[in-house]
Amino acid sequence: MNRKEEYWNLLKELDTAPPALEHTITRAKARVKRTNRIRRFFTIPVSSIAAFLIAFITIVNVSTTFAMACGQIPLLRELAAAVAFSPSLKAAVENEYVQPMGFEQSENGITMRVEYVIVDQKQLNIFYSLQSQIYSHMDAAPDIESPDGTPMEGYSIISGSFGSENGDLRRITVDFTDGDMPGSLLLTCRVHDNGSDVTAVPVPDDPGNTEAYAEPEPISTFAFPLTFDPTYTGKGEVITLNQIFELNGQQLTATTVEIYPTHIRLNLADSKDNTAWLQSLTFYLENEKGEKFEAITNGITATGSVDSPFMASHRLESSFFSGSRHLTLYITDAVWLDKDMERVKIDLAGGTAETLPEGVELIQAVRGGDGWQLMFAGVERTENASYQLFGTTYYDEAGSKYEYDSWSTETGGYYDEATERHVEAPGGFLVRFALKDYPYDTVFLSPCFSRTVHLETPVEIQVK
Amino acid sequence: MDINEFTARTEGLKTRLYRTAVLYLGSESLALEAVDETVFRGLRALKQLHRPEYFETWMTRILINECKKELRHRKREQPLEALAETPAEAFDALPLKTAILSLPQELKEVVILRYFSGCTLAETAQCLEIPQGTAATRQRRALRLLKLELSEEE
Repeated sequence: MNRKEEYWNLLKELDTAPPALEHTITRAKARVKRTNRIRRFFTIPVSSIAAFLIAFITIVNVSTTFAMACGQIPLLRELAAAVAFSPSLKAAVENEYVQPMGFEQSENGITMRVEYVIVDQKQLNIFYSLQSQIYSHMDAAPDIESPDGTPMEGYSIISGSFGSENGDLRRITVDFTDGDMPGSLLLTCRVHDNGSDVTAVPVPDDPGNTEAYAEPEPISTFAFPLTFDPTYTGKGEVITLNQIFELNGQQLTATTVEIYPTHIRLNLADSKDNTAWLQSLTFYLENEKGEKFEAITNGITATGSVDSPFMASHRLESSFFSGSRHLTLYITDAVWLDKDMERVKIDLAGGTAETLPEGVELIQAVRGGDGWQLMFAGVERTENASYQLFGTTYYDEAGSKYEYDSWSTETGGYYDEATERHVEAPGGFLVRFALKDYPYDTVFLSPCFSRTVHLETPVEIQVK
Repeated sequence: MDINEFTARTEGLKTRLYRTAVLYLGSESLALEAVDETVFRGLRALKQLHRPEYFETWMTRILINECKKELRHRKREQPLEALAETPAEAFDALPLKTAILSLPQELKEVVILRYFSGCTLAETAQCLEIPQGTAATRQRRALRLLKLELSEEE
């Protein structure tokens, strides 16, 4: 066979497309729909008492020990999948630190079952399922109240029901920042249909749409009174340190370390003479057996107060079940917000910025409606993890204060209107938000950080 | 362009995209993934496509980017067996499909677009964002290495 014959044969061969290609458009439409929902779902409300940094990981790591432990306890098999992202909760399951609940309610064709809780002095993880013959994809919006129905304060709720199928075990995490876990509470849950027909797709939302998420009308509303075993809610150990140390020329004091079954909190205080606010840390604890307890990557990573940009409490995976006699803390990286970078000026009309946080780039400032649509690029610090670039408060030239209430984060590049090219952003992510009803040509944004610093020699603190 | 037009035009384009990706990546499953990703990205950025007459070129460009991304990813995992420095005889001895896959990337993409995706020389240059003269030179070099004699119409 000569080359030309080979060419015609190859063309013929390539004309046979796999059957899966038939549905490529349907898959893309369904994915666009899902992506829009994800973006909205991870929009974080900012009205809570403390400011929270939340990061997500995409790697499931199930150890052999863990798989065996769960395999031996048939009831907990589903729980294994639900806690796969959390080393602390995995250890809790391995150690049978789980309080079974087994409560069920049905309303308007939806059944909600609260199966288990993992609870300690500061955190409550509720594992539940939604089942329906009518709806195949349901979303839940949970909240908590006191048993008598009065509102509670000082907590945050993270729930992740997106992508869950009928009957899947889902998780709600309630985190008490300052106060302690009450002995009982009322869990309320509004459940709405998330659309089950992926083939009937409407025109996709504008990728730049940063409208705040509006929760759909619920189909069912459930209320479960939950009472916790006091042996669980009392669990926790506080170690006083009061150790002063220097990090990148800034003085900090490690005041206490709180060790709970679900997480560890390292509490810090800063000096008023510091020129920068600490925003986040890369750090870990190591015990005498060489076991490492890394920073939380899937949930709340640090908390601060509204009074100052300083992030005072930083989270680690728990050493609670490890039987550690000695623990040493190692800090390897720090993220700072320099005090002279608390506000940065952006020339919206000119598309330029006076100064920006390290690695951050202004990609677009487009006038839209009565305001501006902004797009920034950030650099990933760890693979597949984005972070917030700017606080939600911004100011005009006169110093008047404004707020934006949501932002979106995406990866995979953007379409550059000027060159009509799709531009890739390798190793980076994009953040979009809108300055609504903002007619001015300049704005002052509030960066969440200004620089990251790696320590050649880690800071070492003996915890116990 | 609205979603109905996107659907109709992508329907007519998807086999060509697949063909391009198979030759670019040398794997049917990776090609299918690349086409899926391309259609998804195209759909997401649809409102930003201001010149619908360039839809096919625009989608092909997204596909090429996806394929390059996949190749970069694979390169990190295992070195590619490119025959960039290999004499012409080495290509001659290989079956055509393998020989195309083994071409240096800048030659391979021109051959694929020109002779397997149905792009004209101008469209090929546009997809790859290179001058038309460069595309023509690369086309000649690639055909010479492959020992493939094809006319402009083929």
